[in-house]
Amino acid sequence: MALWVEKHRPATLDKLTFHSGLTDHLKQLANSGDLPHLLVYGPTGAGKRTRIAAVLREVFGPGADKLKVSQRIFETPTRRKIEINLISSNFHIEVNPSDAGIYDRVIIQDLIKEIAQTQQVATTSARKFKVVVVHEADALSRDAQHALRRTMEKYMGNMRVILCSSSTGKIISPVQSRCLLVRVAAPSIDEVVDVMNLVAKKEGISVPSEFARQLAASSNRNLHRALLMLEAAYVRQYPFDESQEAPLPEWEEYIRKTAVAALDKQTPAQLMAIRKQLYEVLTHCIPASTILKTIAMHLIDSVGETLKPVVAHQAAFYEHRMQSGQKAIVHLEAFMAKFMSVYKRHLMEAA
Amino acid sequence: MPPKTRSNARYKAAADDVVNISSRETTPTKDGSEVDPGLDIDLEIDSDLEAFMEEFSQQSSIAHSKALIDKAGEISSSPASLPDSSQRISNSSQNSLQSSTRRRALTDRPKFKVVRPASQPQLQLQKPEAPAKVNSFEDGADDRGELWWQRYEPRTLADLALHTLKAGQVRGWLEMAVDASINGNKQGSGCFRILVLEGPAGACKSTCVRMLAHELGLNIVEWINPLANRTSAASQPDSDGDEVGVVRQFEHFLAHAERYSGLALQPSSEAEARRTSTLDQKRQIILVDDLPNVSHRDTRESFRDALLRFSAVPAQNSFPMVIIVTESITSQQAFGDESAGGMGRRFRETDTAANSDIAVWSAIDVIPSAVYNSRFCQSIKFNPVAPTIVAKGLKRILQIRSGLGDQKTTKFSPATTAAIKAISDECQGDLRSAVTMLQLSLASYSNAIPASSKRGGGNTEKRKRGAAANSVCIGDKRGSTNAGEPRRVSLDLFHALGKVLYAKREVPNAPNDNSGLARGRLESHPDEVLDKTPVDLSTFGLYVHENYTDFCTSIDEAAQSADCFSEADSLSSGGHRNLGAAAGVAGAYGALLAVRGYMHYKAHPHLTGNEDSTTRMGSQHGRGGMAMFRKPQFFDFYKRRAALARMWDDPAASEVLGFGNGLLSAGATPRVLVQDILPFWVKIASKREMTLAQQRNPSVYQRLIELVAVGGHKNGPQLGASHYALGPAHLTLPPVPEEKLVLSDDDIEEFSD
Repeated sequence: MALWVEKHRPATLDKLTFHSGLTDHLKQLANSGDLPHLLVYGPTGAGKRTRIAAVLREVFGPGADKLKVSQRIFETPTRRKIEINLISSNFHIEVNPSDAGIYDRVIIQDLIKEIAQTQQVATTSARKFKVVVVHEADALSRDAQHALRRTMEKYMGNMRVILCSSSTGKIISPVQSRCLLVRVAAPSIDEVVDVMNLVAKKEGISVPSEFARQLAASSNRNLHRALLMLEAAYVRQYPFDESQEAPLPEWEEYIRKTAVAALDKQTPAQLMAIRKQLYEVLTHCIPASTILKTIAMHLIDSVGETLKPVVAHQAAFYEHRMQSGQKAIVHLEAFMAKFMSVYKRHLMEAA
Repeated sequence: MPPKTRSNARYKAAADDVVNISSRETTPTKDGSEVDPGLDIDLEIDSDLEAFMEEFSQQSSIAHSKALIDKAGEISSSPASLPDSSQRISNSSQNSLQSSTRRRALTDRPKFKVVRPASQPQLQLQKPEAPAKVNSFEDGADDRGELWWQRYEPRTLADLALHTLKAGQVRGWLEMAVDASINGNKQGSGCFRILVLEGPAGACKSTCVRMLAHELGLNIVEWINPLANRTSAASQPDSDGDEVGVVRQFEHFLAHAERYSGLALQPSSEAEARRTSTLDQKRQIILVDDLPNVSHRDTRESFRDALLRFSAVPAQNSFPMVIIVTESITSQQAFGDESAGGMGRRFRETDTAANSDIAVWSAIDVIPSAVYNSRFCQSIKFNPVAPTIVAKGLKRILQIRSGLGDQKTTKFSPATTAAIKAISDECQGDLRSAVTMLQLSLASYSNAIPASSKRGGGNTEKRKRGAAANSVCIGDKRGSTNAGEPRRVSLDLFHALGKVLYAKREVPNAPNDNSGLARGRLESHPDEVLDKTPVDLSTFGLYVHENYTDFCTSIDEAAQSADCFSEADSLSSGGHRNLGAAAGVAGAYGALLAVRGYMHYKAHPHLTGNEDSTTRMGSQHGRGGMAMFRKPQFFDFYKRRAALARMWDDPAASEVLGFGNGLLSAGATPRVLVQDILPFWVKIASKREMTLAQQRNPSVYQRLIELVAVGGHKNGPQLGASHYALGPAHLTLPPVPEEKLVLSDDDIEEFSD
């Protein structure tokens, strides 16, 4: 089974639909015979990975598409063994070091050294170098980034690094300065709708433009998610209805209910019920920041003008606390309690 | 070298007395002109010797020298000569101005044993102790550097601070077990392989075993954790790291103890040889008091394996084993074995670092359940020593010290009795700490303290009173001048929780304040409660956090308290900076902030009043019903999420969903997988595809579905495609498994009013 997202993913630079300026730039870069280190950044679902894959294909030819998944075991200085999934072709290797937690430095160093010290063997290759793609580079620890800095220079001869990250904020500046920064912005609503129509045409279905716009909006201009939503909506009901609800993941539905609960009643007992729900979502591996943001956005939509900035402020405040703390539940609950307290007072004043 | 010659001559003379001169000794030469190859070494030994003898000259009793010999070297090589040598050393210490050669000859042996490779460091022989030692206690004996609980160890069963029934149980077991190991063919004899003695520290577990073994004439082979090998990696046959090495040695130890018992443990003196017949050579037990480091996972596992193997050996081919497990409460322990396979794949979120857990260290953690629950293994639980029995034990020590022996009729002055009572109430049934407290409290009076019946007079009274005050201070950091009022070292968990959560206040003493804001002082001081929590502060914080909503009457109170908890957490974890040594301080501040914050805002006049107090606790509180404290959901949550988090980068997941390599090659990060792909997959996939996925790997599929089903029925029946055909409309809040989460305790009655 292939999801539409995978099935209709553009494989070459030519097939990319939006950000045409960037596409031209990448094409020139790929055909120049050499490639600098790249730092590709932008929000989820904007097409970073698709573009990286397309560039690799442009550089190395179709061979870069023949991927295999393997598991590698790395040993930390404390002799702990870490298993890491690697995706590799003959020309490049992809790694997600966030799997390794605090040991990402070991992975980065070992892996890059190993690749850099072996010359490109494939004679058919036009290039002398191999590429290491590091996904979720913003999750790299500082140690790992510093390790990367040195390795990037040392093995420039036969290795290039492509970092993929959601923002440049967490990448240390020495690494940034060694890379060519490539920003992939989220597509506009119209661009998302265009892609959806393209996919719909290939699948032989028609999407009403209003419904497409609704999906694009509720996906937050996340193309990846928009396409998943489109397919889910198609499975649920086709032909589409203009008023059809955009399907949401279950965790999001659940979180919305939590937000509604806070609006509904403001008592300590209710707070306890909310705590249980928060635990539930956290248990299912939804990141705490996502939970807080989802709830806050929903609350902001639901309260009056005077409270909107208050909610935003509290959300930011507890997000900050959460980043420096360890137990996310405590901060999520404090945010909910704070909101309920403020909201209740607001209701009483209004009455 | 005239001096050397002389000393060598003397050496020879002295050597006749010595039973066991090692062959490494230098050959004595009469003329001294010959260059002695061992000369340098001897000189070097001499300086060591001085120190060694210094130490000895301060000691007088046999027990002391024995202890020191134990310390100085391993005695496995010549157990038979042990009492002889110690005897002699104690003699020599009496006329301590003997010639250096004689001293060398005598003490060379321990030195020599240090030099020899420690081939079997674990086999330490403990002979049944001679009851005659009681006489070695003399009034005013100099006991510098020795703790009373060692010195005044009970010599007879009657002195043992243990219920006679309990001692009878252990005795019965030992008799049966030894019997079984001698006549293995008896029915049911295979059952008596391992005895586990569980109990808190200082509950006479070890002493009980030793006493009984002596009484029954059993030899004890005891496992002692080796320390020295740690540095000498060369002597380690395996390179799996120290801890595992230790366990391997434990296995060797067991094997040796089983096989070579009769040889290694020959009766030492002739008197004992007569007593022990050939049959009695099998009268031996293996004692494991000093457990290997079982908090280390690999060590724990190998230790369990070793025990399993041991329990499989038939009784008649081996000896019964007694394992002593001291129960204690540890913190910062990993989440046990349930999380199967460790926490390799951690969720990279901020809250994963919090893995402190309350773990009551008990026999279950140490002994594999396969052994613990089998018929080979019996367990006897020891209770904390009752205060009256502690008092009895303390009195006995004072009697011995006063030279009165064991006469039960000694009368103590009221002050002494009060001091003893204070200590025995305070020690929480830990006899060892009680004796140490007694020793400490009397330590400042350098001369031997006689029982007050001897001297009497106001002077002694005062001393005793002072002593009592001292001892009280030991347990109570806040210090108390009231000697008559003993304080407990720590509260139990419910009690501490109750003190915080109820945050009871005294009646305000400002009746003229008509603002209505006056509040009385808190009845229990927050610092004091935190000082005495039985669990670590972060765990205690979790308990308070789990339960505080029950006690808040308004959401404002709850919000303020929640804010304090949040701030406390962020302070005590110090962000992403490594707090290093300051972490402990920050943690203490954090806990204090959380507890004080809650107690301050609870029922704060500014925050209450506008509330329809319909909270569950509010009503219960009013009725005087029984409060229920809940166990934090955090632990359960943490385990479940760790189990689910391992799913997402399982390569099997991609195959199960039918993506082949597609999922991973699409570069789906765990986050995208969990937030988008999986939830939509269950919406998109047809029934046929789901059935296919389930057939590919039912367990992985099951967990994937569970990962998606936020708020779904996790404990319900198998989830299948049909479950999801319903769509999200069925989603409801999960029913609360109340009975699992609620803790109840009889103690709770006392805090609810």
